[in-house]
Amino acid sequence: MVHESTVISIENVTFTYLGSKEPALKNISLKIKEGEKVLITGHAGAGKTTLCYLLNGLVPHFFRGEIKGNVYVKGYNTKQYDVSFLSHIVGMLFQDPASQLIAPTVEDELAFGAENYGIQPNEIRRRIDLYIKLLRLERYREHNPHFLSGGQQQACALGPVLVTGPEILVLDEPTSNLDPIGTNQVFDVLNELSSKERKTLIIVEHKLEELLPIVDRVVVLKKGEMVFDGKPRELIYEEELEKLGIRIPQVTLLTRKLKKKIPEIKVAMTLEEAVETLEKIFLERNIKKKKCHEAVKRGLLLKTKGKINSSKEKPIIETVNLKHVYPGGIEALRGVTLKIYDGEFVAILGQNGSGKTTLVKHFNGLLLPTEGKVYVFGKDTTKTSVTELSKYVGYVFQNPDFQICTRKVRDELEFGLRNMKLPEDEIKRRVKEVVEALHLENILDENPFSLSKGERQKVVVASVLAMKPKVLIVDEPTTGQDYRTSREMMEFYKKLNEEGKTVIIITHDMELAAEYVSRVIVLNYGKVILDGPTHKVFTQIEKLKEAFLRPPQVTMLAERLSKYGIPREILTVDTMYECLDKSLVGE
Amino acid sequence: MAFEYVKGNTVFHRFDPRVKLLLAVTVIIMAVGFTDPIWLSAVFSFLIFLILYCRLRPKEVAVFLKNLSPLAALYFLFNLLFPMVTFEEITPLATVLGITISLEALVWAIGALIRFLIILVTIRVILMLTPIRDVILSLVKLKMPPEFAMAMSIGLAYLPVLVDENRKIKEALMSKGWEYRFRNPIKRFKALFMQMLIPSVFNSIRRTRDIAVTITARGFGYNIRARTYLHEIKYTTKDYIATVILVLVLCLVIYIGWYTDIAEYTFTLSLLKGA
Repeated sequence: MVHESTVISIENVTFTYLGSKEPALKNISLKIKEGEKVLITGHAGAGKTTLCYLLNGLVPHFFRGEIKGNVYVKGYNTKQYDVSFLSHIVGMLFQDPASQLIAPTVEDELAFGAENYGIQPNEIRRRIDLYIKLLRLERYREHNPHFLSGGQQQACALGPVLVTGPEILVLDEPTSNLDPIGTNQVFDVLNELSSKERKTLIIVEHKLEELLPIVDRVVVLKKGEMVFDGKPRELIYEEELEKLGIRIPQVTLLTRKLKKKIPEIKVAMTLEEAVETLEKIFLERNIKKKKCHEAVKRGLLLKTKGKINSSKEKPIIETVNLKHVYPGGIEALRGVTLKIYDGEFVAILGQNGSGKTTLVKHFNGLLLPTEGKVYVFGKDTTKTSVTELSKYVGYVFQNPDFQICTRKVRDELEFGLRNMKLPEDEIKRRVKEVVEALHLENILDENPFSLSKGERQKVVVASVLAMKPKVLIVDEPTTGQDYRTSREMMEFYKKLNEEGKTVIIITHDMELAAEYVSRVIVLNYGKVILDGPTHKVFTQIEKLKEAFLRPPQVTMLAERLSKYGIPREILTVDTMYECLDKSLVGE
Repeated sequence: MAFEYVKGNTVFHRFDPRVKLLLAVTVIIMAVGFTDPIWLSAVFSFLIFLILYCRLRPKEVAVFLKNLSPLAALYFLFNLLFPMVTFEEITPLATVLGITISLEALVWAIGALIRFLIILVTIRVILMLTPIRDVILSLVKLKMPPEFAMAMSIGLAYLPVLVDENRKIKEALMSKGWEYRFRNPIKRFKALFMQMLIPSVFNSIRRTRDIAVTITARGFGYNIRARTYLHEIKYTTKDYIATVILVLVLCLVIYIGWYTDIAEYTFTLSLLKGA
């Protein structure tokens, strides 16, 4: 492209929030050209969102603090122009979709920005008709946006930005609430927009696997500093970045590791590239299927993790033809029969709105079946109170903000124990235990609402764990967390599981589910479509697709390489490496 | 969900929102101006007609009234025991705890109860008959500052959200073994109010900030005089006719309510005494 003009110019900016000692951004210099697609990534708290706020003037006009250096947006110095002026050029989608929906209907929501800029009603209507289709919200035009599913809310929050029509779009984690296929759809829409209308795109995301093939450039932040700025192709060679809590695509990790033993291998950025380079080696080395198979069988793999139930045992949770219809007639569960056994580590997967949360709310009696039965530790939930069930089944909700009900972390941890009417010394003892287990010593006297979201989440988990439930249900523990934090949380639940607790998690994260849990239940439109050991479920690629899910990248790679004797049931990069190492390099 | 527009295509649905607002104002002024149970019952019947004719989910309105009943009962009792008027003569009916209840007070209190219900049901009915967007548009047309109209719009759009959020908070509390279903209403109120207050307040603070950031970044306040509105509202012939009728009715109501005593509680009283 010729004559690309710079649309954003950040010149040596350092910004410190009011009341904070450490700067959130340090010496950032960045020039972004018209039509460029830039991915900004980094660990939680690296300054990604603050960087976005710089671009439409929210920093320093709304979020105050000390700013050094200058930011120019199409030549306008952001210090001298206010947010509503700059937003005409830079449209921004914020992280949490629910917090940015303000209108009574979807249509009003979409029109809101354009109305503020005095665009004529006819033109607004034309644009709404165009984008509402693209965002797949036509059916919901007159609905209150707050009652849409998470994914639809995200689309709806993006709507007003698109209808206003700014040249530059800044999107802060636009797919954090979406299932894998929904994520791809959003990125496809954005890609289409940027190529058709030459919009400049700045996307903050953790999902590198999906984005690296689309973007032109990647910027990585670490503790407020820019540690990488280059093409996606260059990024995949940077081994240091892994330590930053960035989720590098699995095929990249794999090929990079293999390359050390087999130099001809090219480091792959996408699944296709990985298949290509590995197939070539298989063909060149003329590896017979049989030999490979033997090699695979001999040493390794598929060490089935965790506990697998035996049918002789009594289930601790059992649902029989469970149906649930919400008032208003929405059928959320359409006949679910399943058994969960003591000591299992289960993931419940499914697309947005498939009934996952509705299902687990039956496990502690918050919801009662419209039809069918639910037994928890042999008790019929229709005849047992939630208070009673809460002693056995702990439930950590998705949003910590609705679960904190006191003004001190210590009180929060004691809350459930007091409801259980335990003696004072027992309460003290249990609080001490969870504080040690989750390292909460330093924040015991803080107000939970002033903590970071990650810490709030921890406090909520601790307050539930203190009650020592036999079963722990966690709804989307890793949504919106960076990779390292997500892994830490999964490690923690794994440890709890190894100590004997039954853990049930709801998640969209296929990679983490594949790596940690022993059993997977897939829901689709209120029905169980798959249920079994993780490796068996994740090899049913077509069935998963029905539920808008996709197995982890390595499992898809295994499927593609199965003709060379690679077993399909591979779930992690490590197993895949071991396996390829054995078959390609041999003993 | 409460306070949601109920779709329909009746003549009342099709009126310009300003006509609907005028209708609501007229009915509320009737409720304020009249104190007689029979007159007020006639007004209330009109509301019931409106609900049935426009199919405004009568069941939901019934639930709404049922939920209001403790408050309504309290209001009734208060008016019965401490009527806000001085009666010319008193016909004692009974004595409860040393307080004499008179026929006059009873008639007055019944009237007060109906007024109370009329005002609340009218607001409810108008909101079911008018999309929030239209309410806001008419307020803007009636020269209310757009900032204020926007605040109202966001507030109304958030009402069902708050209801939903309260449910979530309650569920989270219950999951930790919290009990609120006490028989004792004071205990129950204390449990519900105190425990739910903290998360509600903190969430509201956070939400207020988020909304402020969002509307600023969507250009609100850019040039508020030049702001356009996707939907326009227009007065048509039927709206003009309705307005003329309503203004006449309003004048009549004011005349009857403030300058005559035919709609005073004494109307029913005299009927009762005559019989």
